[in-house]
Amino acid sequence: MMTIFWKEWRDILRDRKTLISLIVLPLLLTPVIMAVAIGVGYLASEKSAAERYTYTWTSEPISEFEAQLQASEYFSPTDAVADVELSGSGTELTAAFDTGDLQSALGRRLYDLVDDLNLQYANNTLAEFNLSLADLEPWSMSDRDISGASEVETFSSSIIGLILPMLLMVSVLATSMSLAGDLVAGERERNTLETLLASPAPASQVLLGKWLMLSSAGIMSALLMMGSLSLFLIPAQLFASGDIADAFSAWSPALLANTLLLAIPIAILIAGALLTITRSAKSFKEAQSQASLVFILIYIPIIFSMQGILDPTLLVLAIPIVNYPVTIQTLAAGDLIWWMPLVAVLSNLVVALAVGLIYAAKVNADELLNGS
Amino acid sequence: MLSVQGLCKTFQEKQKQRWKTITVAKPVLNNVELTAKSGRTLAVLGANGAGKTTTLRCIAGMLSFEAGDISMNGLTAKSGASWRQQIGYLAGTTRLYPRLTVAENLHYFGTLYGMDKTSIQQRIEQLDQQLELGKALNTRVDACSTGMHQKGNIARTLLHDPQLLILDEPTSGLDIMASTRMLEVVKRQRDADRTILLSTHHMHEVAELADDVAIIAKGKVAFNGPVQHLGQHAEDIHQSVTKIIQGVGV
Repeated sequence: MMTIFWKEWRDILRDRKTLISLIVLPLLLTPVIMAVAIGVGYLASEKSAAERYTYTWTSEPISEFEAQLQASEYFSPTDAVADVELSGSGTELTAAFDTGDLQSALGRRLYDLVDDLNLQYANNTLAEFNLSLADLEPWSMSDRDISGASEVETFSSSIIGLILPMLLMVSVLATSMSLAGDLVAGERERNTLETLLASPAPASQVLLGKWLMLSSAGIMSALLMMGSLSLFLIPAQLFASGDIADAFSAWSPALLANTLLLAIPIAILIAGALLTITRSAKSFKEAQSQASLVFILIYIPIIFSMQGILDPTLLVLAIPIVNYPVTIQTLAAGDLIWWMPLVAVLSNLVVALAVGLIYAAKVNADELLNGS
Repeated sequence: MLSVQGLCKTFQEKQKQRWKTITVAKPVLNNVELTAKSGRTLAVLGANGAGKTTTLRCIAGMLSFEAGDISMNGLTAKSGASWRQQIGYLAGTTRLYPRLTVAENLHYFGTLYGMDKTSIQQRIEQLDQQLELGKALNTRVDACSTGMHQKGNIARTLLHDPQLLILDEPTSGLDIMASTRMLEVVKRQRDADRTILLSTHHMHEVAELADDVAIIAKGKVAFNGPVQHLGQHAEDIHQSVTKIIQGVGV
């Protein structure tokens, strides 16, 4: 089995396309995606904060609103082409501007000014009757987080709870899918499987060696992705500011290590499922199309459980695949209890081994040699 | 001596109907009986689809079978690894791993045959002298010519010095030089007292190499005897084989 395992690794590492999907993509693509996403977010927030708008009146200016505009740091009048054209009379204001520009905060800023005006008016009116707004709306509520986590920590943990499982599973699935078709169906297509099955290696050992290789490739892909993320996070945490810095505040080496450990049984499970489904395919192409079924079966529960609608109960944590994002989210939020990852790992491992044993035990030499 | 008695094999074929896929039993071999002696070559002949390759794959231990016995040197084809240990299998379709060098392929298969590194290396050196592998040894298989690839494949087949050689159309797709080299290898192995099963469509190969002939038609052995009973020359053998196959009906 180990002979087959090491040969498969040597063989795979000689293939440039596989090297790219296995090593280069997780190493480079993840930081690039993160950097682009963060860069776009940073630029948008910077732009929004610094944006200035010009305005012009197409009717007689409404004096109260003109005063608000002049007091605002975001607006300045112009005689040339303006960002917004204002018109109206009395208490009716109309603003004409391009609402298609989603990056622009112009509309929000105008509505804020109107709200301020309304508030001033309400306060002034109530003051004439010796009343205040608080007299009309006596009830108020404030909340206090007893978890000890700050608002920033909660924000960060929710971001991490979404990104981490998604990136890791994409990496494991993409790598495993690209290799699975080659391991049995690809060998059959290249006529090397016939040579291999003529050797004394039992068919079950051949399959177990390939399963072991595919599992280790998935784990390696996850490891590389986590490594590249870590390399990216150190400068990101040092140099980012504002919302971006807040988003990264919950990242830690311990969190990354735990996430990786939790991914190991899932990588084994994915490898077993992919090989079971693709081993009868007559060609690499057919195997690839069959592998997409596994992608759907694995990824839909992950997307579903990422929505944060599942609590980390014993029952939920015992459901394979689904338990992964739930455990990561609980871990990132700092609410993890020691038995939770244990249940998740055991549940995934038991199913992974069951899939693998069925895959290897139900092997039929005729089917393996000829496909079905 | 290799003995095949009452060999029966049925494939389960999947057939797609309008809404479902059904499995249909397709008998391929029906009570096949063969014997092959040490130091002799048994040519296994027959039309396409007659059951030659299935017979050879059952003998090689690659396919299971429902009934019958295949035995040699006190072992049977159902003995698993120890049975396959004494067999060298080479078909016109079998390939080496393209991304590995020929030497790496040989080391890999040597390990699967239970050989240690030293004995693999020694055997590679012997085969290098016999087959003139030369530069091919350290060349990736996908960069080898067809002839070099076939040399490597022959080396892989002979690596563990098997008692029984199963050659299923080994010269198919080879040029005249590579085919000649293949035939020389067969002769050398026969002279070294190995048992050889050779499936081929080329009657000159039968005339040159075979001591005995088995003709398979419709999953049964239609003839089994010395090659002289079919004729001395390739043309005579060709006519005799054609008559026998036509007699059974294809």
